[in-house]
Amino acid sequence: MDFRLTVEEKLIQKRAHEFASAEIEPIAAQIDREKHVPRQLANKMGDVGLLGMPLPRKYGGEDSGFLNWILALEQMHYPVSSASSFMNMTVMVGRGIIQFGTEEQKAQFVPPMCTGELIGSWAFTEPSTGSDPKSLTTRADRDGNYWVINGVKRFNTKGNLDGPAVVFAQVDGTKTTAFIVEKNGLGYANSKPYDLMGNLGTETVDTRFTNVRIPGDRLLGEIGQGFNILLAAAAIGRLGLSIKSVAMAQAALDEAVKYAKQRTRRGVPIGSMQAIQWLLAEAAVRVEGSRWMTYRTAALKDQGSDIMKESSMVKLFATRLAKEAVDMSMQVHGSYGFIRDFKVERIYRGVKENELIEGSSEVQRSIIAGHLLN
Amino acid sequence: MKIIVCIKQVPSGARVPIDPRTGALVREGCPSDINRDDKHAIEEALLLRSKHGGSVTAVTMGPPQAEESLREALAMGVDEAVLLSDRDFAGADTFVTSYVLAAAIKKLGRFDLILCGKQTSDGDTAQVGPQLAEELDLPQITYARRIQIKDKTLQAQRSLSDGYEVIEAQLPALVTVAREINTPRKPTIGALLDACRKGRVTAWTAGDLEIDRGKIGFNGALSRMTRAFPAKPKKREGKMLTGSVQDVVQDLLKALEGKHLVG
Repeated sequence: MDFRLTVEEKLIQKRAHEFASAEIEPIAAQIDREKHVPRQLANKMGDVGLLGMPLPRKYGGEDSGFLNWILALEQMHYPVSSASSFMNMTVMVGRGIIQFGTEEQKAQFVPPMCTGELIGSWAFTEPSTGSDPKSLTTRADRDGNYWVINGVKRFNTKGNLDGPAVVFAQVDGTKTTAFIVEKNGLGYANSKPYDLMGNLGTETVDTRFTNVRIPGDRLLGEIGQGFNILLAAAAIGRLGLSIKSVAMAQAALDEAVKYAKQRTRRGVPIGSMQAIQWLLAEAAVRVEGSRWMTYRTAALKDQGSDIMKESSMVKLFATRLAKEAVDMSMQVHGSYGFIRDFKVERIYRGVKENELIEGSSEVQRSIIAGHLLN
Repeated sequence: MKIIVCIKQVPSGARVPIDPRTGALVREGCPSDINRDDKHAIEEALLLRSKHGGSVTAVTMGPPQAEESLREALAMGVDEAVLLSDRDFAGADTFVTSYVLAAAIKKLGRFDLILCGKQTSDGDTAQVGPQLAEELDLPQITYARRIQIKDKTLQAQRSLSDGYEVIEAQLPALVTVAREINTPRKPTIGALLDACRKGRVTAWTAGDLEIDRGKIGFNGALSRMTRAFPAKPKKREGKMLTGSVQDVVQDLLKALEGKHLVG
């Protein structure tokens, strides 16, 4: 077993690091303060080829594989966790369309998402359900050559930015089905973005569909196939969220190490105190373990393995350990960590979300147990 | 036009550990990159190729991991890459490096122009370019901030501390470039993947080159590093000005004038 990164992986990692340092780091605090990620950042990511990395070249991607994508995402999430959700959304939506869509759907929607011209979103959650497809109330009704969609979607990330949304709705009352809806058309109305605790600027909205008419050929996959489409995307989403957790924890740890060297007490850096050293060591172990578990899950995906169970395991593990590592890093900072000027404060506010979205930790435990007991 | 660019992989981290026994930099495990000045040389070669046609070959001498820098050069757009790597090259100084590079360039055959960065960020000597020109008996222009080629004549603006001078040379020639000459392009993810998956890096060892074994590696080196150590940061001095506002302003002005910052 060789754990060294290949030349290719190192170069991808380095390029993403360069991009993140040049384009994201300088505006990281501004993004958090203004709760807004500049839209043109997506175009810049598209120009470099970061948006659709693991998607096929034929449709504007790079055929990079998932491990390369994960290595890039880790660098991109490091300066501020909300800026690179463009990458996650492009891959989740793009892959869903490539895996289940028609040739026309792939050609029409995926290449402009890879350039950043269109921003994809994933509209599953509703006010009364987060992870249970049977409880969806949004419905799609046939009307000649059209589908008519009615309902409300909650936490629709990037739901207000033009591009394709994969919308899940019930056909004939019980058949969970996915559709491609072009956002911001007639009958598509968004709430103001949620005022979130952290990860600010992700543009998370509620969307009301009022008689939204879409052509019949916007059906994604087959009627009743929605749950399979959801599961395939969820595994990718969990992988992305796991590496986001690692990046956030690493950023917090780096801040803590820097602070422990700078801050002195009775003339010596606090890093010389055992109480501080233990916090740093415990945080570092959590980051490193989560990192390699995420890399392994991505490598399994590249090898063609099904990662339904593994993606739930790494998501449960990495999001919890990252939260703990960030908490320890903040503890190293003492009261200063509670001040907005300190980067660790921003990370602390954001890291909890990872345990809640893309299926909460409780949902991941149910999935893992289901695999074990099956 | 056939252009050869000589590049070097250098540590990119802020801190490079030093082996306390040998005094040498411990490069293994350190993040590394193409030497910054060399990226300007690659860019200039690519610009000249787009203007005059031809090909660009990147050459580096270094440990096997220097392949990473060559792949990056391929991703930037160079056509071919050559890695000169052999345990016997270890311990080389600039004299040995230029000797080995010259042997590889002779093996590559006819060329019109060799471009180098003006100096590396680790060795900082700025010697390899000029020594290579001497080895190959070529006209050389250092610190070029602009290059123009017409027929077989190369004209360059050479940076000076207080301006520049214009120098002409007949091709083939060697030019070392200054940073102000261009802005190096950054490869896309797709170009990096192509460079790693399809790009060809030719690897040559000492046995592939016509060289005198006694003139390479540690034994061939004319200079010895006796000690390397991290520079101690200069301690900054602070001075508190006291008294009335007028006095403080007067003292401040005097101090600034004394340092030729105002006045």
